[in-house]
Amino acid sequence: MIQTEHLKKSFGKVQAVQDVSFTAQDGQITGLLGPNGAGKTTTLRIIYTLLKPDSGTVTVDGIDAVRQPLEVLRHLGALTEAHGLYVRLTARENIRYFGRLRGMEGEALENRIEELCKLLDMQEFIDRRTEGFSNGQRVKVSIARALLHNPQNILLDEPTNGLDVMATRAMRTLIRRLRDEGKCVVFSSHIMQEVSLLCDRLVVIAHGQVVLNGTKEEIRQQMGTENLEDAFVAAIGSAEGLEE
Amino acid sequence: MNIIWIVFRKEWVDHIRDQRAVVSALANGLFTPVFMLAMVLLLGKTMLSFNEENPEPLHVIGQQYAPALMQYLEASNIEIVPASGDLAEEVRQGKVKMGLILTEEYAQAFREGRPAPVQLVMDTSRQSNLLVMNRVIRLIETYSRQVTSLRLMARGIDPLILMPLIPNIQDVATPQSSALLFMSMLPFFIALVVFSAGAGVIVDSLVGERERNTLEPLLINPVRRSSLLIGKVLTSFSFAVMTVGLSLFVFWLGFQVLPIEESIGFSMTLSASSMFFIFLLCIPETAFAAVLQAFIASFARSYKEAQTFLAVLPFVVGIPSVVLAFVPNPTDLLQVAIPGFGHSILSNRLLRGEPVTSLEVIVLLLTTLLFTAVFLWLAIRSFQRERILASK
Repeated sequence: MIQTEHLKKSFGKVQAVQDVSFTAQDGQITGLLGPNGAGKTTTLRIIYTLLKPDSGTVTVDGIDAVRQPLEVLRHLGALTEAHGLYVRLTARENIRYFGRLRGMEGEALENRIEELCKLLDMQEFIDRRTEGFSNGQRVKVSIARALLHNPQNILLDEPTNGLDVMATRAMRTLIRRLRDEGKCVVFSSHIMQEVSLLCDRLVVIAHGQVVLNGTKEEIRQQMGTENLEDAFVAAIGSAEGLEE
Repeated sequence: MNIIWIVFRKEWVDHIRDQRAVVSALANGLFTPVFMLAMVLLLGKTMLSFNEENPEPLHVIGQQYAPALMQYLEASNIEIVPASGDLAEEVRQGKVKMGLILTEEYAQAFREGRPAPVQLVMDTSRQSNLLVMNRVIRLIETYSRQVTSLRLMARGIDPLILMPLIPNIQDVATPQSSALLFMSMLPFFIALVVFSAGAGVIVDSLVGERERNTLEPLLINPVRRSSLLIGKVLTSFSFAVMTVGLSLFVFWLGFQVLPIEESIGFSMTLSASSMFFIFLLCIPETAFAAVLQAFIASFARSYKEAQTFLAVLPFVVGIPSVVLAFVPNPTDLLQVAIPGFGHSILSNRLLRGEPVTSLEVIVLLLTTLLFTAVFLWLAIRSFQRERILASK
C-alpha cells in the first residue's frame, strides 16, 4: 500500500508538485492521469525516493520514504519513464546485475530470470546484447528488472508509451495479472482511455495538484457528467491528454 | 563491500566489451612512451649533428675588408662563403644558417685601433642552428681577445692584466645526469598518462549511465549510492593502473632495445627496479586521479562536457611537472607532499639515480591518501544530489 499526503516539490521557481495526496491499495490498480508536465513523474520519483519532497509524507507499506529510503526501495519495483539498458550487456546480464544489486544470487536468481523470461515472452532475445533492441523489447527487459524481487508495490511510469498494439495488450494483461495477485499497482499515463480501461481508482493530476480522486463511478457522480471523458475535461479544464 | 564488488565486476565486463574505447585508451597509453623515445632519439641526433670535423659554412659580405679574421675563421674550420644581396632575408627564411657583414669602416677602424664593427645576422629562434651560432660568436670573441693581447704587448703591457680571474670549470655531471636533460620531461609524461588513462572509463560509467537512461533504474535499487560510486571509481582506477604500468613498461623496454646510447652519445641506464618503484609510486597517484575525475565528471552536464573537463585535467596537473625540467630539483618536504607534483619530483630523482628518503615517500603517500579520501567524499556527496539525474 502506498500513501502520499500533501506532497510538495519545486525545482527552483518551478512548482512541479503543489499538493498531491492519494492512497493506492493492495489488490487495486491506481491510475495517475494527467497531461504531460502535470507532475506525475515527479510524484512517482518522490515515491521511489529519488526526490525528497519539500513537504508532505510518503509511506510504502507503512515505511516512511524520507527516513528509510532503502527499506522503501526493498518494498517496491518501478518502471521508470525512460527504459535505458546497458547496451553492451545481454538482456539476461542486465536483469542479473539488478538482481545481484538486490541481494539475489545463484540458482534462485537464475530461476527467477527464467520465470520472468517466460512470463514476458523474452526467450527470443534474452541472450542478445541489448544494442538495437526495439522499444517493446526494452520495456520488457525493464519490467523484468523491476519485478525481479517480486515486490508488493509496483510503480509504472507511462508503461505503454511507444509500444505497438500487441505489446500494449500484453502490458495490460500483465498489469491486471499483478493486481489479481494482490499487488498494489500504480501507473501513470496521459491517455484517458488507457487509464479508464485498466484502473480501479483514478487520481487526476493537473498543474501539480490532485483535481479528482476516486473510482470511475465516484468521479462521474462527483462531476455530474455522463461519461468519464467529460468529467476529465471538466476537471482539468482542457482536452489535453484525450488524443489518440 | 559485496555491492562494490558486484558493480566493479559489471563495469569491467561492460567496458572490456567497448572495444573501441579500450583500444583507444591503450593506444593513448602506448603513444606517450613511444613519443618520448622518439623525442630522445631525435633530440640526441640534432644536438650531436654538429660535428667539429665538418667545416660549417658562414656567409660573408665584404670579406675583403678583413682578410686576417677570415683566415682565422678558416683555420678554425669555418667555411667562408661569399654572399650577396639580402642576407637578413635569407637567414630569416632559413636558407642560410648565419651571416656576417663587414664594411669598409671595419678595415679603417681596425687600422686605427678603434673598435671595429662586425655585424652578425642570425635567427636565435632556430634551435638547430644554435650550436653553430654560438661557435662563431665564440671564435670572434677569441679573435678579439688575441688582437687585444697583441696590441697590449706592442705597448709594453702584460696582457694578463685583462684576466684578473680565470674560471676553471669542474663539470660534475655524470654521463647519466647529462642524459637527463632529455629525461627530465618524463615525469610530465607519466603525469599525463596517470591523469588521463581512466578518464574514458569514468565518463562512460557516470555520465554515460545518465545519458543512456540507465542511471534512474540503477538508483532505484536498495543500495547505498556510495557503494555504486566506489565500484565505478575502482573500475576506472584499476584500468588506469594497468595502462600506466603498460606505458612505463614500454618505455623501459624501449631503453633496453633501441640504440639510445648511440644517438645521445653517452651511456644511460634505466634500471628495471627504479622503473618499478616509479610504477609503485604511481598507484596511489592514480587513485587520486580516479576520484578527482569522478568528482569532476559528476558535475558535467553532458558527455561532451565531461570529456572536455577531463581532457584539460592532465595538463593542469602536469604543468608544475614541466617546470621541474627547468628548475633545480626541489628537496623541500612541503613540495614533495603535493600529490602529483611530489610524484614527479620523486620519479625525477629516481631516474637520476638520486636518493629518495623513506620519510618523503611516507609523507607523499599520506597526503595522497588524504586528498583521495577528501575527493572521494566530495564525489559521493555530488553523486547523492537529486540533480545527478537531471542533465540540465
